[in-house]
Amino acid sequence: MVDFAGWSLPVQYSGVIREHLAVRRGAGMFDASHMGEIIISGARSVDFLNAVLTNDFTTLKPGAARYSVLCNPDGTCADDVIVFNLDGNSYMVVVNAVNTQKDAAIFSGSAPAFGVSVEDASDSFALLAVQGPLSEAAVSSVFGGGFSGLQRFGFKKAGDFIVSRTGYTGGDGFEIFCPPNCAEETAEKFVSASGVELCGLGARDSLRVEACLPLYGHEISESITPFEAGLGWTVKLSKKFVGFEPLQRQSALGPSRRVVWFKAEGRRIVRAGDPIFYGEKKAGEALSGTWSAMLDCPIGSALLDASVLLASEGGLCAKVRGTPINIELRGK
Amino acid sequence: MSLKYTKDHEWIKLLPDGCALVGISDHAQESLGDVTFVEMPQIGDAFKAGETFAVVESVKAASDIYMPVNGVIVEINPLIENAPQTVNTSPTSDGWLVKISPENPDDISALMDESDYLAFIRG
Repeated sequence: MVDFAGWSLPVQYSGVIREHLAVRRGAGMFDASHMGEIIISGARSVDFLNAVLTNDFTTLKPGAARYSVLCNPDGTCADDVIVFNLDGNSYMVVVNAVNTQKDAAIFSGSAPAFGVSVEDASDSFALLAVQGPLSEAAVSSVFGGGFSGLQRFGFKKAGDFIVSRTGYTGGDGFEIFCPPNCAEETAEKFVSASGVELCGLGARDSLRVEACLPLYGHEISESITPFEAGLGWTVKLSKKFVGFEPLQRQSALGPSRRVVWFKAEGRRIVRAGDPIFYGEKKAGEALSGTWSAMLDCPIGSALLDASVLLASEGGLCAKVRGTPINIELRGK
Repeated sequence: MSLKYTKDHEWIKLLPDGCALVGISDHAQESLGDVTFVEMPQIGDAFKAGETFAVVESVKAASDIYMPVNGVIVEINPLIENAPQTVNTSPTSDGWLVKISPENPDDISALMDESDYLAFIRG
């Protein structure tokens, strides 16, 4: 067990590689209850979200969710979030555990201008993420077939439960938001009824790196902008929002640094902080590093000078405890 | 001779020829998780007790492995390079890391035996 933003979370149950493969080939379940849930309510909620977040929520229908970045005024990332349109009037914003209080404070600061209310409802929700190609069968065996028809990023409410077709593994999956006092019983049902493998933080990390999904504190942070992080697709410059001006400038000029995803030669894992070189020149450093059970090689991410990326497709190497390790960039 | 253990979770086993095998304990492999790579020393390298002689990489972390007694590396387990998971599946047998020539075999008998080690990790 490790401390994760004040939550005690398991790194692994049966082993990171086994759990990783269970999610890619069958189904695995993560306890993601540490994630924060902030409820925005009021007639002008959508105007508020458009003004605070980088993405555009005008077309987000009730029963659908959308990913976005929350930026600081200087254009760097304060957090990445998923916004659920509950009923056109209320929206649930799912945020990273470590940022829950910060995000709630940012939202509260802008709320009065739009007449919306901001409620940190994190203590009212546990969150179970059931992920993998057999997750639909698992959800049907526990809840019946009512959620099978959900589209990616769609969700349905059922009593106190919200079941969404979302996740953080790059494959099919469901997330179940439920009252904390129902979480244990629900988790037990998944494990016993459908043979879902329990998964910890280690597999959560290796799966999301394999799928090139950013994690706050690594690929996105208060020193990295959405364009640098490869999240330009979430930035809608057709509207004004917090961080608009610096991001508009960066959009025109192109970012001077970029987050890239790589696989490494051999079996040594390149870890966060390891330097990356292009020839003799330091080009940046690694942000994440883990093992890909599917590619059967080390994988990771790095923040590199854009000039190096323009100059060459190859020739990059990481240094791990002094040993050079060739790395090859992976497409998103 | 049976296995002797250090507080840093290495084991060492004296062989009839006077050499000794060194590896990591079952407790250590379980804490490290899936081993993906072991950075090995060179044959002929000499280490003092407590010096780092190898680095075991798991999905979770890279961990220094310390030499239990003064000695010189005489052999590297050839299985580990292509099958590092042997450290997980058989930590105290097939998953040995190096064979050493100990400077003084008596240093080995001074280490913890298995029951002392198990008591030590239970705290």
